Amino acid sequence: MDTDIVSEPREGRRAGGSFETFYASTADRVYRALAVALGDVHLAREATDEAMARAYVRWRQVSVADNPAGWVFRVGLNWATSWRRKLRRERAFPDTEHGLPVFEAALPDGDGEAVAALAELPIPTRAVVVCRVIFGMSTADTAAVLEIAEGTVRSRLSRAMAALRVSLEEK
Amino acid sequence: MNNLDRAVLTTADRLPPGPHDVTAVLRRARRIRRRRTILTAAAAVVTVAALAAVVPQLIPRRDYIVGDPFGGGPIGLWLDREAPPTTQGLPSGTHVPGSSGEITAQLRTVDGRPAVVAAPETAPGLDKGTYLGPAPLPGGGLATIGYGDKDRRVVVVDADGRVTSDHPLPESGSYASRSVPMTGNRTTLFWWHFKEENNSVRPVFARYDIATGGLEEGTPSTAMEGWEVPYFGMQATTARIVEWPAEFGQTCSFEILDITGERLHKFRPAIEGCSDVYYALAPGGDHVAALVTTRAGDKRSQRVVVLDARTGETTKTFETPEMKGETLSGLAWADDTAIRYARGSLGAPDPLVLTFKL
Repeated sequence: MDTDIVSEPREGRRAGGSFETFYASTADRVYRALAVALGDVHLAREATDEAMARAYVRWRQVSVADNPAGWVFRVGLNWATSWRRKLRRERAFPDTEHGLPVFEAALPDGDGEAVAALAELPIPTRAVVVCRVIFGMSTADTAAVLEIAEGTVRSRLSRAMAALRVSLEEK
Repeated sequence: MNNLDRAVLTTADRLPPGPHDVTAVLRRARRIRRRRTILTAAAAVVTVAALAAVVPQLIPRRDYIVGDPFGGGPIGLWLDREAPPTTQGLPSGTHVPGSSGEITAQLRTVDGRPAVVAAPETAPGLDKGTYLGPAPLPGGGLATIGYGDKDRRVVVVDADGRVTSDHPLPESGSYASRSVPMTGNRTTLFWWHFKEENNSVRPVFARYDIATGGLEEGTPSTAMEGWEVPYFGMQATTARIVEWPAEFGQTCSFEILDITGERLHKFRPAIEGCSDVYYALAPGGDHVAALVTTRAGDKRSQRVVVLDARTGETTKTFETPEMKGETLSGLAWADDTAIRYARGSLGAPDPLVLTFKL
C-alpha cells in the first residue's frame, strides 16, 4: 500500500543561504540516495559532484526552488543515466551497472531479503522509493522532482512492494 | 517503517562515505560555466549566421517608402526635354527649360500636402531677362543670373523666396554663346563660359562666391583638350561637382569634378538604355543618383540608378511606377543613404513622391 511507505516531508525545503552550507547539509544524503537508486557507488559520487556543480552555477535559481535537494537528486540521476547510455554506446557492451557493491554490504543484515529485492528493482522504481524514504517526499513532491505523473509514482511504489512481497514469500 | 524502507535505509547506511569536497565541486562548476559560455557563444554565432542567411529571403525587402519622411526642402523639378517649352530665356531666345540647368518647378509642401509649384521665371530685380538659371541650390533655394536695370546681377533666394544675396556679376570678358548650366552649393555658384584670346576660344570654369559676389575663373587642365561643355547639367556638393554633356541616343554619361573644375573621373557612357538623365551627387560624394528616362515610341519610363562616383559602376537601380503623362520630375539626396524622388505636372494634384533607401 502506498501509505505504508509514505513518510511526510521531514524538513523545510528552500535552501536560501549559501551554497557551501547547502552542500555541507545535503551532499551526503544526495550521494547515498543516488547510490541506492543507481546501484553504483562510483557513478553516484560523480553524479553528486556534477549535480552539485550545476546547482552552484545556477544557485540563484536553485536556492529559491521548492526542493533544492530534490533538484540536485534529479539532475544527478539524469546525468548518470545519460552517462551510462553514452558508455554503453561507446563500449558496445551491455551494462556496467555495479561499479562498486552497493547492496552487498547490507545483505547480511536482518533485512537481507528485502535488500536483495531492492537490488532487483529497475532504477526508475528505486529512484521513486529513494525519494520517498531518504528524502521523505510525498507522492506529489516525488512526481514533481522526477518529472513524472503522480499515478506513475504510485504504480512504481506498488510494483516495488509487490516485488518485495514475492521475494519474502519465496523465502 | 516497512521492510522496503528498512532495506533502503540500511543499504544507504552501509555505503562507503562519499569524498565530499566542496572545493572540487566549485572547480567543476567553473568548468561547467566556461563550457556553457563557449556553447552559448557558439550557438549565438550559429543562430546569427542562420538568421543572416535566411531572414533576407523570408522578409521581402522594401527599399522604398511612399512619401517624403526625410523632408529637406523643396525638390527641383525638370521639364521633360521633349515637352513643349513653357518659358522664354535670354539672351539665346527660346530654349527648353532644363537644358541649361534650370528647373521649371519645385515639389513643395502646401497646406500639409506635396504639390508641384512653378518656379519663378526670374529673380527679384532681374526684370530684363534671365542669363543663367534659376539653378536649384541645396535646401530649396534658387540662383539666377539675369539683367537688371543697369547691369547683370547674381541673385540668390532661399526656399521661401527671400533674397539672400544680390551682387553685380563681375565683368570678366567671358561669355556664353548659349545657355549653359549653372549649379551651386551653399557658398559658391559654378558654371562654364568661354574666353576669346588670340583668335582662339577656351572654356573657363567660373566660381562665384555667393557671400561676397567675387568671381574667380580658371582653366582646368582637361579644359584645353577633350573638354566638352556640360550643356545638359551640373550639380554641386560641398566638395564635388557632377556634370553631364548633351548626348543623343540611348546612353548617358557623367564626369566628376572637384570644385576648382579639375576632372577627377569621366564615365562615358555610364548608363545604357537612357534617353535622358539628371544627376545628383550624394552629400558625401560616394554615389551619384541618376534620374533616367527611357523613351520607346510614345512610352516613357523612369528609374533611379545609383552609381559609384569613383568607378562609375551601377550599385543599385530603383524602378518607378508606370508614368501617366507627367512632365516634371526630380530627385535630391535626403542624406547619404536615401534619395527623394518626385514626379508630377503643373496644375495636376497629388504628385508622386517616393523615398529610395540604399
